[in-house]
Amino acid sequence: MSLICITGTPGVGKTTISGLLRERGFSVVSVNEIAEREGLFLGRDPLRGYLEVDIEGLCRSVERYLTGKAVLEGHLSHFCRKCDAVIVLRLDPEVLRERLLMRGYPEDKVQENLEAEALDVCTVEAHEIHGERVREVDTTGKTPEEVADIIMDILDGDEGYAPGDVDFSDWLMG
Amino acid sequence: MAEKEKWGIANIYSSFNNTIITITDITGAETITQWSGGKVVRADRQESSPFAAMEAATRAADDAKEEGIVGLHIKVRAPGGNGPRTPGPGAQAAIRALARAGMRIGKIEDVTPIPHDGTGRPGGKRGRRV
Ligand SMILES: Nc1ncnc2c1ncn2[C@@H]1O[C@H](COP(=O)(O)OP(=O)(O)O)[C@@H](O)[C@H]1O
Ligand SMILES: [Mg+2]
Repeated sequence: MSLICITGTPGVGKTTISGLLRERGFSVVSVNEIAEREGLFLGRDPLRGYLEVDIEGLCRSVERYLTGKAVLEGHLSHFCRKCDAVIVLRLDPEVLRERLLMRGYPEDKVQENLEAEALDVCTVEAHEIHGERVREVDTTGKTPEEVADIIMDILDGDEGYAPGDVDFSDWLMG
Repeated sequence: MAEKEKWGIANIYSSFNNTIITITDITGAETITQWSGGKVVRADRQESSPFAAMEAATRAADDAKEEGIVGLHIKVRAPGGNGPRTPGPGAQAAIRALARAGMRIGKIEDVTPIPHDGTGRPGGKRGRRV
């Protein structure tokens, strides 16, 4: 199995793009799907109320859900050390705001996710674990098909899209 | 009688690309000064370095001193660093530079945001003292 982990802040388009990769022959599963089926939850975050995922359990289970050219998608997927490549999808925080409000997230949850996007949280975490195996794709203004094409290019050896090319830090300066 | 000492809040943002220091009044309502690594160094890819963070912090401290601020409580947002949720090198360099510029340092809080939908990583202790 060759495993690509597609990560990024909630709302950037991981599930949508992974769906397109499924059509292109990849076997795809989401972190949340595995966590739910395997009951891999440790408890609730006391502040935010989200379910805490047992990341080690998740990484042990991945192989039972995927074969061949595989995609693990989810904003925690980069914590899995087995990834052969990690793609961090990025999105301009102001565009992301609209998507998260559409989901009906409360204001504080929207704000924390936008701040995480502007601070490159997934990129930093992925880079600390996977180093050179991490690539970053700014999806802002791109169609899902265009993003899927870029991912295919990266897997075919395109050397661009190194982490750090995307910088939304202006957003933090208000 | 001595006037009451004026304290402020320093918000330190340390991303993959940049470090930003925003100093506000003690209520957080009014921004006194803001500096970023990108503003103090010329070369791209240098703006997230500890050097740029130190420079930005030093200039922010100087501005705050002119406003009569003698001490700062710190709020750090820094996904990087060795352990989970510990401030990254840019943030640590910035805090040291604030102290070296003569600021008294009060409470230091880690308020690094955590991406979450219905799920998230364990141990998201926002507001943790560091
Ligand atoms: N490239 C894109 N352009 C426009 N809308 C998109 C794009 N990618 C995803 N979306 C839309 O954004 C929303 C969130 O996408 P989703 O794939 O569920 O994100 P994630 O899985 O990262 O949380 C969906 O409504 C989806 O249709
Ligand atoms: Mg999704």
